[in-house]
Amino acid sequence: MRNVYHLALKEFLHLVRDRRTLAFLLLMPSVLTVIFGYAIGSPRVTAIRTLVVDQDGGRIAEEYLEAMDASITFKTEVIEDATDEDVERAEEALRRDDVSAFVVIPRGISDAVESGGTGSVRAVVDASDTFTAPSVLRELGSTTVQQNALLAAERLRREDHVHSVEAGLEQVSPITLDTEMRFNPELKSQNFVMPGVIGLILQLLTVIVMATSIARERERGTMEQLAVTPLTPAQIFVGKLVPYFVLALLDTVNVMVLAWLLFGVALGGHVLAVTALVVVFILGSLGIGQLISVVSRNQSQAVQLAVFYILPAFVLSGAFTPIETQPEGVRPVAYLFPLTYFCHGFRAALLRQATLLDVRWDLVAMGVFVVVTFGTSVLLLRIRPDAR
Amino acid sequence: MIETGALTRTFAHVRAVDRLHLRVARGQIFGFLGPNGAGKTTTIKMLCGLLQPSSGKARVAGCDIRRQRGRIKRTTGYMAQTFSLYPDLTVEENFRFFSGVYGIYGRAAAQRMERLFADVELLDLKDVQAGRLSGGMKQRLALACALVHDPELVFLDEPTAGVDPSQRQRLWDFLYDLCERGTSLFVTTHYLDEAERCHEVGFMLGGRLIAQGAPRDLREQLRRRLLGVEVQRAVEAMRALRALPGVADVTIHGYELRVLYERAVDWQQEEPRIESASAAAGAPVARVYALEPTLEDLFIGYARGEVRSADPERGG
Repeated sequence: MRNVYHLALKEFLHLVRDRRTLAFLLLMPSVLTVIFGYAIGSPRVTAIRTLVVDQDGGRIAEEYLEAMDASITFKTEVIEDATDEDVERAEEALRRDDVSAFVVIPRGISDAVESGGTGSVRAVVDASDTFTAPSVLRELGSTTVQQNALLAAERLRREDHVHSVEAGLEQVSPITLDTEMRFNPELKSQNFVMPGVIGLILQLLTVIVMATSIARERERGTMEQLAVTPLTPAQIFVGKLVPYFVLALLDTVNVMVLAWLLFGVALGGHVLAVTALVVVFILGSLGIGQLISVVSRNQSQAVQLAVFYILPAFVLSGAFTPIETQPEGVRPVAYLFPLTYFCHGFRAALLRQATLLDVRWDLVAMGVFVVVTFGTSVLLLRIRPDAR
Repeated sequence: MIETGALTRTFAHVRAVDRLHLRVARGQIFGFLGPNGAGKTTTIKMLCGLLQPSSGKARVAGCDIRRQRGRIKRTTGYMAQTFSLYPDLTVEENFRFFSGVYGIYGRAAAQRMERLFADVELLDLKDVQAGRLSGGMKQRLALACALVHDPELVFLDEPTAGVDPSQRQRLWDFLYDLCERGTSLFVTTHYLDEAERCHEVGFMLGGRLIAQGAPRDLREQLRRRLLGVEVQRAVEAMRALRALPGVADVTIHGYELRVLYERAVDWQQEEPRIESASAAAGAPVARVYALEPTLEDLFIGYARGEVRSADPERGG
């Protein structure tokens, strides 16, 4: 086994000689952590620019407006005593993307509702933004339900069925909702995103670096020289993997500390579960890198293949957005990436204090990747050690 | 040392090596010759375990190349055609890597390095990155690395390609040294002057061995088949002489034409025919004489199919 040590030593020397690559491999994770940490929140949209065209000016309109203002979803701007031209102006503002939605409170709605009749508030939403539009609709819906309940409660009191508005509210909406937030009570998006970002960075690093390692030996013609030594294909893989494994571990610690310092992401969790997930995931990604390397003739081919693998994983693995946001037909593809299992398990371990037993299936799935990729690589390398 | 039986390797319907029968004795420098694409490199790769044969068998240093690849790797060395060391590592780091991989560590490795580096004159360059070495130095380092484990047999695939003549000379001196100390060498080369220095040469063409023997014995085949013609207007004379009956080929060497006949001839009998044919083409001949055949004449003759193998039986 000592000859494997010499191969690992050689790979370390390559890393040390290639200062630029080494610096890149050590700095890139930090930079990406900062960028992703700040840039990517959960897909909750707040402060949507909304224009309210108030043609009514009555009590109903006023209360509706107050309710909208109270919601963090909207950033409202009100046109009071609005005319029909103001509605046209609102249409124009929507077209120019000055606002994402506008709400028209029609003339006479207060009078109609107060005298026992009905009225309707009109909402026009820019549906070209598929994140914003549903939020606007949802929030206006709940605002309307809330206002209706209030009005019904008031009506009950006015007709002396109850002695207060509060009692009336209990009558019209007997079910109340009591919510408790667990594991991430402040709904901090970084808590969700960071485990994914760590996975992405580790994947990026390991797959690309490993993919070029054997392809580079082929390109230089040194693979032949390695192949005539007594080193077996398995030993070659293990020796090449060691330095990058150590580097990936360093980067993991680096990124986790940064995530904690900058975004207060909890580093808790069961040490055993966290360590096992990180180790098996790194091995799986290195394995995929090796497989790419073995089937590539040169470095540029290896990089192309690596990128082709990494990009879909970015989107599909659930690193940034939950897998549930994807259409059901695409979801099975996500399970072709170890990153998917890592994000799932790592999130559970960091945020929900999952134990080794809890994440065992994620570990098993990633373990399968390790075995399959290494096995296939060794087999392919044995058949054609110097394939060009 | 090497013995092959109907060794064959096929690449996508092309037989790179075609039922090769080759025997190489221990303790000599064997020159493996042939034009590009003749199958030399493929043969070497099969013999040192880099490539599986499609069919046939071979024994190298007493080991079966299919079943005892591990042992072959420990008893043979291989120096590839292209420089295949790590340019970003120093001379010493390259050597230490290969010795480590062959299981030679610590003091044994240091002693081996001192000795080999003294032999190939690299002691002063230990801390230089391999990528900064000149062509000749790189080859010497590659040779030292191929010899770390003191192999019984070393395969050298064009060890002197791209190396200047004085460096080539030094490398060959070292190869003789090595051979003297008991290492067998299997060398491919395109330099025919180097081939002349081998104890024995084999000539490959189209995946087959078409001739094998000591350089002097092989050259004898061309004795009395080569005539020299001194002439000023060589191109016209060449065209005229090629049309003569019995002439296989004519090559130009400055003011000298080398005329190869299909069979042995008497140059005094041929002289008048050559003179009249050449004069008719407007190229008067200065003189005609018998030529001492070289391996190069033989090489070109073989490659063009104008000379048939000396020993067809052995050629398979």
